[in-house]
Amino acid sequence: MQMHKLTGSWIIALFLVLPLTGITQTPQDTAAAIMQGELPVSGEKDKKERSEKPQRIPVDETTFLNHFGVGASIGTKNYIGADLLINIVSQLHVRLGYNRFEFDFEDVETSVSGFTNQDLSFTGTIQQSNVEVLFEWGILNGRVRFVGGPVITIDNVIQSDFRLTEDIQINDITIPAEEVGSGDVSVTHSFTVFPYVGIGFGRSLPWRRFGVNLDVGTYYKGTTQVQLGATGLIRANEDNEDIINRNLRNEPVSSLWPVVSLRLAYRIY
Amino acid sequence: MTMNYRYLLLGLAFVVSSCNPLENILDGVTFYLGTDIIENPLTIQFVDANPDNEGQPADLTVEVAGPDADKLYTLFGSRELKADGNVLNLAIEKSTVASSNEPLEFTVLAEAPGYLPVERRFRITDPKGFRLETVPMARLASLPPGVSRKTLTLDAPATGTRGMINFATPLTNGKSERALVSIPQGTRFFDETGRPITGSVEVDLIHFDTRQWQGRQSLPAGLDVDEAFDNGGSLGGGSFHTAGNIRLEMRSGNQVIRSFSQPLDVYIEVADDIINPFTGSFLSQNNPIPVWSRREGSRIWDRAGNAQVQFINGKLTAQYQQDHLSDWTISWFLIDRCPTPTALQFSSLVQETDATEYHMLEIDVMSKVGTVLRKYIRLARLYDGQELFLYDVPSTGGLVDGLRVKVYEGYSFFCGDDPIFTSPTRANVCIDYAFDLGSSLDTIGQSDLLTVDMTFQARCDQADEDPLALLPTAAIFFRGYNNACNEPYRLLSTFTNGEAVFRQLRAGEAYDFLVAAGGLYREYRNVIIPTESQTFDLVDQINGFIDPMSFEYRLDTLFIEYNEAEMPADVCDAWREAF
Repeated sequence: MQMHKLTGSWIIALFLVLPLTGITQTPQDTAAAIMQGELPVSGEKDKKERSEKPQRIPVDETTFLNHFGVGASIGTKNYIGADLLINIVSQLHVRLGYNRFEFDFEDVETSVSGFTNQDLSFTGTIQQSNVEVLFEWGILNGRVRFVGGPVITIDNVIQSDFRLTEDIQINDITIPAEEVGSGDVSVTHSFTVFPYVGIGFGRSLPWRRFGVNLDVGTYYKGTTQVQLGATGLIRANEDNEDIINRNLRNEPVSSLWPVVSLRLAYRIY
Repeated sequence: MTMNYRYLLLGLAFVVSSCNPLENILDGVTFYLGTDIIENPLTIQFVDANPDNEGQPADLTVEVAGPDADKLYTLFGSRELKADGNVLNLAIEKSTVASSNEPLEFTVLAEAPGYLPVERRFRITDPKGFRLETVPMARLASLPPGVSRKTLTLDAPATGTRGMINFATPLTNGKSERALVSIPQGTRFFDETGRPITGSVEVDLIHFDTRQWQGRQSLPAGLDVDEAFDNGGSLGGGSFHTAGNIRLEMRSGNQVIRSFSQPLDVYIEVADDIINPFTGSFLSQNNPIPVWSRREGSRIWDRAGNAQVQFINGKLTAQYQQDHLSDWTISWFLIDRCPTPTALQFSSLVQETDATEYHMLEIDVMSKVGTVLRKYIRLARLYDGQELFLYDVPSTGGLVDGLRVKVYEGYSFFCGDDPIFTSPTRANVCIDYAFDLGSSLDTIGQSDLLTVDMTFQARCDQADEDPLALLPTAAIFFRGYNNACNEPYRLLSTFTNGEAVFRQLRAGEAYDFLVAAGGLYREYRNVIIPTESQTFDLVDQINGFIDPMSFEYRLDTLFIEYNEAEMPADVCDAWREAF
């Protein structure tokens, strides 16, 4: 089998593109539904509310700082997030959020087709938590929002090591997997405070108590930096670190962290 | 987060990783793969025994046999042992155990076009160390000192040769003795099945004298004997104390002659310093010398009677009759050998960490009359506490006087240089011998040796979309550039995963380099070590490859990068398939 890519850099690539994966997860149909207005939390309840024609909670769009709500979100910027949203004036809101993106994984074995003949075992951690101050300007009665603002990094670590799960055979010699060695990849970004821009679909401050909305956008996190480590037979791949970092500097798209976030909103007042 | 979500993230990442930006990010990246999967305790270089010849044996083929042959691999873990040019690297698994008391033993038969084959026994005593052995081979077209050759064509009618045919080797290549063969009238020739061979017969007679070490060192089977038979009974192993050797071959086209209708008469002139080991005195007229013939492709010899010694034309000459063709020797079989390896122990002002250069040791087993009975050639770093072992040292009383050791700078011995150290002859060859080198090694002057940090990477197909570089665990060899002498290469350094630090080169001096590692074979001649940082191309003298080498001085160290030589595709494929 042809080896597809070098061990170290392939795994680096894994983490470089990890943020992109959220794009493919976008539930477009959900977004389209949200475009039509708030979705009910419960279908049954919604039927009841619609049949009773419940009143909207009035929004006085001329007053200042007199409406607010909270939200919980999940997506590519967080494992779980929470925010407080305050209406500043008219369709202008500010959202103060905390995004927790942190999990550890251990001995996750996966076959990497085109790379090796056998499984690789991954152990590592992803920690990308942050706090954000996002400003939203809504149009179409707030159904579409332009969102932007600063984000402050709390954690800035993506790290994993990886190793072969089975011994390998070279000519007539069997080499134990542990003698082949392991790789270690860490990815960081240069900015500790970075901007977010995006578009929101659905009202972030629902007319009724509950609502669901979708945000699509990107962080600009500065230059992506890779640290490579390796042991055993593959240890010389550390030398690729400079080449990859140079390439990353010449690849502006690597500074972007795509965001797709689904948010459950609750209007307090 | 559930495990499934983790898998999803990883899986999606794999899919997206094929996008164009990723290709850009990986541009210029090479997958470096170390090859430190074995130990390389022994490398054998087969060299031209004639230092006046250009070049070395090429296209070497080897056969390895013996009790531990199945423990040997190539540098890249293949049991299919093959030479790189004139170099045979032998590797063992890292877990293989060997010691001076329980060495790995095997024999290597090497053949190269245009050269006499050689067969030698080797032992590996230190599986973690590295040893370079040098085996001279005699080039037929330009034989070394002490060896001469006579070729002729004769007619072999079905009724037998029409008259007596005599031919003798010439007194060339510094020889004082010759061999003469007489084919009686009416002799018919047979192949190995006994079928008669008629027509034109090509005859090739080679004589090895006993005076010059090149002749003895290039004997096809050497002087060690795996087993000797006398009247069908085994005498066991031992060694020969030789008075002369011949190799006689005859063929008619592709047919090889093995026997005759009547024996040939062979006359071998004997040097006057030959000692009869059983009398302890010089050989004299009417002293018989045992005659032995070698079984093809082995180091097993059969006794074929005695040679009678008489003066002919003022030369002491041994005469015997030969009824078949093979290698023949007139030698005494010495069954007395030291029961245990003889250790050579060195004391020196140079400590191990400072012993950066390799020296050649010429270790001679001396006779009672001061002649050399046996010569061992070793290459080693010499330092305080260094210990080397000699095996099967002949110890026949009345013949063997003792051991003598000479130390040379590199392999300059082959070019006739004087030793930098000569020990006295120490009696009793079976007892460990301690040598005090004193300050002998300091005379070379190591102060101007450069500290070199060198990387050695062997590239796979440069145009490959998935560039791969192997980092050899192998040795690189070098020698001082010298047009006047074809000195064997000595060890520059052993590399582990393509990295080595050593002190053997001097700025501004010219060297030749030899790379022979797992399919990669290059010889670069007259490479001058620059006095300031620069990169230039090296031209391979063998196949014309051009490979860059960069030299960069940083602080007190010279960093050399030898990272662009291309590895043969079959070697690369084996590593790709493994992963």
